[in-house]
Amino acid sequence: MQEDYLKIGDKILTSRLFVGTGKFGDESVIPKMIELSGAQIITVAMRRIDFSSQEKNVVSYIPKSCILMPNTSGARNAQEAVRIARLAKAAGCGNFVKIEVIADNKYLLPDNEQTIKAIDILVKEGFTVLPYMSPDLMSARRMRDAGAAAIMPLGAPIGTNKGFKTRELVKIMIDEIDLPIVVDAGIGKPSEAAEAMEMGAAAVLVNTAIATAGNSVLMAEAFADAVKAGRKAYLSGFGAVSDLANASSPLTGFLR
Amino acid sequence: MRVLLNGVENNVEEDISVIDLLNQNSLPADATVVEINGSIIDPSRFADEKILENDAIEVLRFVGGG
Repeated sequence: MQEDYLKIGDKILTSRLFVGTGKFGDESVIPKMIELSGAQIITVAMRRIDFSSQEKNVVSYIPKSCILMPNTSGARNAQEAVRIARLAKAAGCGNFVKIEVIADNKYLLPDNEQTIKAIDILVKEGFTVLPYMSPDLMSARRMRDAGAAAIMPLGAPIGTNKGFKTRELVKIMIDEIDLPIVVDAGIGKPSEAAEAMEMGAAAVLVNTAIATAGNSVLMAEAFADAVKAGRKAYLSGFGAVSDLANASSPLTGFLR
Repeated sequence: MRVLLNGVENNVEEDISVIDLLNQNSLPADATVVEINGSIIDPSRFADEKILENDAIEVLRFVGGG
């Protein structure tokens, strides 16, 4: 069977699980978590240094072979997202950026309109842009037209572990947009990640479900397996669904 | 002299460079991003770039995030 690669920007990926590094009570589990997840794309955030604390830099926990994807969390509009992206690029960790423009503190739902503006500016500056967005086909088309390398619709609000609530709208995007669709945020269980992959998502991004799990390393491994399972099932194609029963064993030669 | 460091008023010596500021605070030059008055300072210029009075300095790094 041919290898199933995912191409985003100029990177060829063999893993369709992206992981975040936020909310880990003990960041020293991050290297093992990344290893067992098999993830190649790892998200980080950019913040002011706290001079009073001597925390180890999170980048030191991330293998050099991984692709760092800084997010623009904290940005409330396109200009702030652009500034954060430029600052992140100045850290010298590549040109991938996850655009996250959020002005809503209650649900942390992204602002699609401002995100489109940020994509437009950053693509022209040579960034590989992956926008986090609220699933809406028109916005996704505009993001694609602005040069996004992939589209990342939310599954449910950030950090809720609620699951793949937006499945119907994401399905439409998968069917209509010729770009990798990465379900990002809200996925709480490996089965939900598998569902997104079975539907045809290109990848999923998981942070909270792993970081807040009882055993983050074990959960990362579970997500890795689920993403692979869902992808294989999608590539295989599914058997028909029927209302009536269809016997699995022959209907002749019964013992009487 | 007075400067603004990550939004907080601070006092630093005169004639201090960016690399001096980082070293004084035990910050590694790699994976630390410095912006002065809205302009990003290229890491190759950390030793040469002097901090001036009333500069608004942002010293940033990557942290865990989703």
